[in-house]
Amino acid sequence: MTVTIPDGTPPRTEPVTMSATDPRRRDQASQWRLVWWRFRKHKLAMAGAIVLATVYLLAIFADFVAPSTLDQYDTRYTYAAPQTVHVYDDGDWGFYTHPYTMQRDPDTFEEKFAVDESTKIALGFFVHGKPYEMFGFIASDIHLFGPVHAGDPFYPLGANAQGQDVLSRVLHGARISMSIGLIGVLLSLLLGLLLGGISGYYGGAVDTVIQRVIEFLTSIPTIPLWMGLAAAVPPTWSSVQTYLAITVILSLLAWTDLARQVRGRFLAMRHEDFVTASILDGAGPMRVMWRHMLPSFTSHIIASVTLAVPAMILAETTLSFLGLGLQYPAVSWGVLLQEAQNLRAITTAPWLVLAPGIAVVVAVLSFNFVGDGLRDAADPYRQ
Amino acid sequence: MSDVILQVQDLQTHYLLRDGVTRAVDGVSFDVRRGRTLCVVGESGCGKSATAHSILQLVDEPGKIVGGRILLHRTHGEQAGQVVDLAALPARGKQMREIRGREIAMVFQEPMTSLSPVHTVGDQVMEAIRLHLPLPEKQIHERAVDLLDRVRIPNPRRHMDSYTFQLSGGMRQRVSLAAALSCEPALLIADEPTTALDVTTQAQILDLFAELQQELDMAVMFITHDLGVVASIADEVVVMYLGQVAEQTDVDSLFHRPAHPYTRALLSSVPKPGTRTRLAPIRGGVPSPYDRPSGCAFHPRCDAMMPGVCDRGPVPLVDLDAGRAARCMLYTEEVARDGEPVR
Amino acid sequence: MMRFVLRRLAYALLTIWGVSFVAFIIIQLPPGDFLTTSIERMGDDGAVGEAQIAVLREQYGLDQPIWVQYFKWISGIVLHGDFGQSFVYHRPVAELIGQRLPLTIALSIATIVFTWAMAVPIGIYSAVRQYSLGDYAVTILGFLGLAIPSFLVALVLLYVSYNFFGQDVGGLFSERYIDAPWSFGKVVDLLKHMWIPVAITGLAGTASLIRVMRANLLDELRKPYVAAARARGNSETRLIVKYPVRVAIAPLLSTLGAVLPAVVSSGEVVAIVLSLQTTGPLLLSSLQTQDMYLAGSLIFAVSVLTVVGTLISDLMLGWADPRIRHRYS
Repeated sequence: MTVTIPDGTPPRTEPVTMSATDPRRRDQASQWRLVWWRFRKHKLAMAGAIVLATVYLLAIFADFVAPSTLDQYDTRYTYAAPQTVHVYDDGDWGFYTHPYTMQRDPDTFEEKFAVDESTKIALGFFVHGKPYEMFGFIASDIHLFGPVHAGDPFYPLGANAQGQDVLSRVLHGARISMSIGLIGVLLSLLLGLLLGGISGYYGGAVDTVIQRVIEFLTSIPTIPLWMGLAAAVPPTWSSVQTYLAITVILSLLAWTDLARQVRGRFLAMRHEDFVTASILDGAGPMRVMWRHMLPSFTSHIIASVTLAVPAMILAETTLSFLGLGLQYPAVSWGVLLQEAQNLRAITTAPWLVLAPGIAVVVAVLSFNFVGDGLRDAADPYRQ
Repeated sequence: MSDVILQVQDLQTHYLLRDGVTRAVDGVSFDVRRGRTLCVVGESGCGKSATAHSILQLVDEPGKIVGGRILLHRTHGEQAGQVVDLAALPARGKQMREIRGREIAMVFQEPMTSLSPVHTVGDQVMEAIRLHLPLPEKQIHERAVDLLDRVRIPNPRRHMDSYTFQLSGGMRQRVSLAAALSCEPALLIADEPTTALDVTTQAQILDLFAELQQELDMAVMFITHDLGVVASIADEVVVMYLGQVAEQTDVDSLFHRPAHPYTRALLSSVPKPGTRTRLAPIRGGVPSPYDRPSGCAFHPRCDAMMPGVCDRGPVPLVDLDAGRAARCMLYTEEVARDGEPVR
Repeated sequence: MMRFVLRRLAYALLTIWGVSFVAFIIIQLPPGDFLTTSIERMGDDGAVGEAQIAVLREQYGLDQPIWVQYFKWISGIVLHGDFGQSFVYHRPVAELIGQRLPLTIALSIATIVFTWAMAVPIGIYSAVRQYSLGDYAVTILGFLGLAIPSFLVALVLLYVSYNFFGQDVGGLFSERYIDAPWSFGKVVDLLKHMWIPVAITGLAGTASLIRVMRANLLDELRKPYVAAARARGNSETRLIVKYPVRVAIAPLLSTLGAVLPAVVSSGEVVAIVLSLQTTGPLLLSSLQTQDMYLAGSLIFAVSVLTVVGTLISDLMLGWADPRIRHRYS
């Protein structure tokens, strides 16, 4: 361009405020930076990402964060109701709660809990409680928060039939529930990439067979099938074995969606010039797939994977809830919900449903939000 | 001036986007007359479609008519002879609906997508008649068959029950035309109706347009970016650039003595039979609507650009002879007086 | 059209054959010889002698290779409608399934109808009034509907109805009708009880269908044929119902194939929580007691039901969409 704009008359421009849409910056930014810019604008997705990060941190450090350990129980406090935690004490900061008093109903002999407002249980941060071994090798007895005097009853979300703290169990349960989703989806992703890739790359008869298998798997109701497969897991297996078995069973039926998407992308891309070019350069099918085709839709895959996690979490929860997945003494949100399966438990201790239930819903919602945000951001070159 | 069907006066249609306001149509005026064809020409994004959509109040969100008048001289029904300002009518109101399809009809660009894939040809051709004319069903059907015949669809009776995916692109555009003409509108707006067609089909459709216009004595507003199309059907021409009228002229003057440098640039960018001159593409691209140049919007691409004149202040639309006008500093009095060349 | 129907039929038969295979695997899956455990259990009752065990071994071909066992099992079903024997109930599996399956079918159909009746109008509203307050409310409810497992809703409902209304919402019949023969009164009673499990089961499906309908319709609303129809002078309501809604519903019909398995799946779980007399609770108890012929056959029956449902929806889609109807004619 030879035309220069003379001084004194700045070009008349409409107001453009967002830096991310500045064309110069946008032209230079890498693909992932663009994805991040788009994702960041998605408020719900950002909120979801923050919640998920928090939940995973809580799960990883559950031993430390939870006020009590998994083997802690106190049958005196069977189905004790949630305590109110106070942080404000008579015009000053104070961290305390009230203990329970037991009253026996003179007619029904039913034990009922009442709050003893006259005394306080002092609470604190970094208190000494039951010893634990974090990750199996860091021995400690310091808990993030809890009663200052170890042994005082502390049930901020109530207690279960054995007098165990529901809050601590939900925190511990996050480990299995939140990890089984990830590991299961990774397994499905592996299957999906492999079969979807083969299907989409080669096409033809291979494609037809794989497509029929996918159609077959999607046309039968998953939960009955999962139930049947999960019931075959021997009850004698250890928690770890069961955990792995359930993960495999879940991914056996869950890879179809991912495979379908991978196939679609491969099919669409098979005739793109850059693929033809790399084939002409003598690259083998594996190299073409992994080095050239896959990177161009990694962002889409990540979005799909994120959206597949909630289904996994829900499936594990459902199976464990039915008693066909993980079993006591393993702790997942589904196992916790199983404790609330009968009407008596629900009516006397609704927190047994609500605490793990809300945890499940929050986790699933967050994954859905993040996944939606990623999906919208996945294609940053689309306007 | 009884021949005037539509007067567009200082029309302004803006898109209120998150990143700012786009002035898609920025003070456009022109008249459309009975029996005449007005071509609106310009590159993509110059606001010609937005102008057409504004007339029928079909501008989609977040677009909005923010100023100007669209005066329709009514010819049909009880209100014949009255003048109504379409820009002032509510877009979803009854009055606007009575005008759409009845007095002003429209043919769209993509024959693939401007017809419903799940309704029959007959259904879509008969729709406007059903909506606007109190005729018995049998007569409506006959009229639709007759219309299909008039737009040269072979075996029209059989094609009444066809679906659009069974027809070729040219046939679909004929169906669109039949649907648009079904109530014999006073004004037909055609929004690039031949762009998506191949050249042979395009020529047939253009002939059909000309013929039907004669028959029905309609006013036609034809939107195109193709100067070849302009040459074959236009009477008057409006050249648009970035939402403004750059030049207004009759078709002969457009090709023989173009006034605006943009028009000249457009003309030298298309091949002419019998000449061996090198084609000259217009320098640069249409500026982003967010980044509109100061002064004359065309000055960064203009060969006759005068520094200090063209790049500051708004440029008026200067009247030339015989109803021609150009929005260019070359024709303003001060420049002409200062001895700059006037062509 | 005939070719289309035949093709779909062939697919369905192939799928059913695959399902039978899976069901058979599930029967074989539990560790150890499945008959041994069953026979042990029967033996505890003192009801079986050596001779009877030998007969059973012979009947199920237990000493023969696995494919012979499969063949015996499947030919029993196809030729005689014999699904085998339940070792817990001491009754033919076919009889047990026969009692439960009709209710499962009824519940599934009712749920699909509910899902559509809710999702289509809400989806239309949400798309036409995009970004309105109502649209946001629908979107939020949609997210929640997809995030809350149906059994959790059932549990919460159990609690709420028991604690605040002193009423048990479980079951499909009032007490006096449970064992009563079918009558008009019993049907009315069933309908009265059915809407709760139907609404719970349909929640997730409704939420996802609303999203699909909304997205489809938003896509369609931007298409030129809508503007073209508007330019012909149609009113907004007429325009939307006649054109884009009709186009947007067609792909929705094809999602029925995906919705149905999900509906049946969550229906089984909801039935377990609310202890309905459908196949769900029976499946769970049979799995718990390792009554494998019953469990495998239940999975088989429920899957076949789903495949047949999908087949019907496919045929309906073919009939509704002229593009498919004409391609195969």
